[in-house]
Amino acid sequence: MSTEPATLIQIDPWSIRRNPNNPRRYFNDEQLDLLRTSVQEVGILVPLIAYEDPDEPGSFVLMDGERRWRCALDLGLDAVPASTIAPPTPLDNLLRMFNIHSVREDWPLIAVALSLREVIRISGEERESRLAERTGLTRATVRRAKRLLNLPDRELELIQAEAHLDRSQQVHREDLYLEIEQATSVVRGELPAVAERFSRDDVIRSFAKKAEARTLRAVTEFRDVAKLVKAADNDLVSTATVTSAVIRLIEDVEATPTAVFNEVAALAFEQQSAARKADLLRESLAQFAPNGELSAAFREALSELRDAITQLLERRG
Amino acid sequence: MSEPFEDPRKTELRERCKIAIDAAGHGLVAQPLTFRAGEGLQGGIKGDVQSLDGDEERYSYYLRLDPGRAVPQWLVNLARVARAGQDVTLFLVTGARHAVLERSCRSGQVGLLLLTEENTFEMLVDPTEADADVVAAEIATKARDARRRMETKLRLNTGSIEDNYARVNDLTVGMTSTVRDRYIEGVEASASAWDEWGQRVSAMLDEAAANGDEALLGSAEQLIEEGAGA
Repeated sequence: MSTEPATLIQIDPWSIRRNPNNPRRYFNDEQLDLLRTSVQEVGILVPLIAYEDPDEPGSFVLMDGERRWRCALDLGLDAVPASTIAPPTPLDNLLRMFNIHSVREDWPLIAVALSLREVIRISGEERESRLAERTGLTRATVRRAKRLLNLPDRELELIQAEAHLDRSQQVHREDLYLEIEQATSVVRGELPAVAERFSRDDVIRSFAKKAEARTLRAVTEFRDVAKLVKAADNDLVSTATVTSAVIRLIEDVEATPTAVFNEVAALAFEQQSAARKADLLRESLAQFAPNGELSAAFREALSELRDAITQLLERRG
Repeated sequence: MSEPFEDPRKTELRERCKIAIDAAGHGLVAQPLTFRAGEGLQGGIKGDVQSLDGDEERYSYYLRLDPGRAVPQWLVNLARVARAGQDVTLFLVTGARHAVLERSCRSGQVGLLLLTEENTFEMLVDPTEADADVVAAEIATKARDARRRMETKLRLNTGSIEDNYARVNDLTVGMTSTVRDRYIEGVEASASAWDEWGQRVSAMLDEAAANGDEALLGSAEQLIEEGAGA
């Protein structure tokens, strides 16, 4: 990165253009009101940072201060203070976008992911720890951003198109897709019959349609898909039954992960849980000496338990 | 210049606004003028759309997407300037009625137009009508002073957070990755908390100044005193 000192000048805001590497293009218009009032009443106190476009002398590219710049345009300012710096290399430009903007502007994850994709493309660096160090992001954020990048482009575009909206207004939310991506990986990794029949993109699309049709109660419902698959892994339910249930889940937009899980595997999990408790109880009972004294209350509890077990076994034949 | 991103809902409102301007018999201004604000204010009146009526009178329209928010101070300032003798009449345009925006426009004497489903204008607030509830100058001044205190506090606090973030690699040398991640998450959480605090206080001050609401001003001043950590 250049270490040339910056020069402070006044620039016509219309001669500045946004930095193409700043993916934070999704501004909620009315959230700029605070800054507009401040700029109108006291001016821009912190200069923008920009560099002169080498291909277009007299025209500047913004490094820092997109919100101030947008306010200047809205307010019709003739000139804005700006520190001009030497043009950075493409990678420096990207990394500076992260270091300058990410925390201050609270980028949505999709914006982080798209920038990170460029960093990976230009630097060739894919290691999570190195990417975290270079960008100043946590490893968890890098990991989540990379998972988002695994989505088909079409789905990324849907997320981008709603990124400027309040979370309550978004349908194609980042957290929805993180859950879908996880569920899709499990389904395709563990159920070959599903992987043969549906492409990854098809599964992701069909799951996203459930959110579009508003059939989901919560995005975390997709965690029930992994539990459903686990039921086959643990031999609680046959693989054929689970496969058929997952196919129904993919094909029927009205079928929700929780409803399908409850129908197919919930009871089996409850039985597994009861069996584990029965093991623990048996171990606990074994510690009482055969000729030891049992209290009346304990006898009564055991007797009731025995009746319940007998009743259940007889009912089940 | 590359145009800044615009919310698609605003783009749609802009197009509908143009239809309504045409229906009102006005001509659309292709190259809007900026009317210098003066009065110590930066910039001027331009708006999202401008029109000229048959008498060459100029109108400037500011589009508002969220009618549930009070008119912000910067637009109240511009409306005051326009009333004081600029050759332009200023209107806000909203796609839906809401008591908050309507009441604050009435108090602040800011013209408000409703864009109907038929893409015509319905005037909800006439900017030339003086209102009995016009914001008391004293409250408006207090709100302005409070805003300066809020901005200073915001700048001081976010400045140090940004400094820490910019030096994150130096500051976290020797930390284990778990501690480093926790540190960065803490910095990010602080930045978000101050940002939300600023937005909240600003909206309260806008509403207090526009409605002459002293109680709301008091609550905003209390929040400024407490900061984002409260």
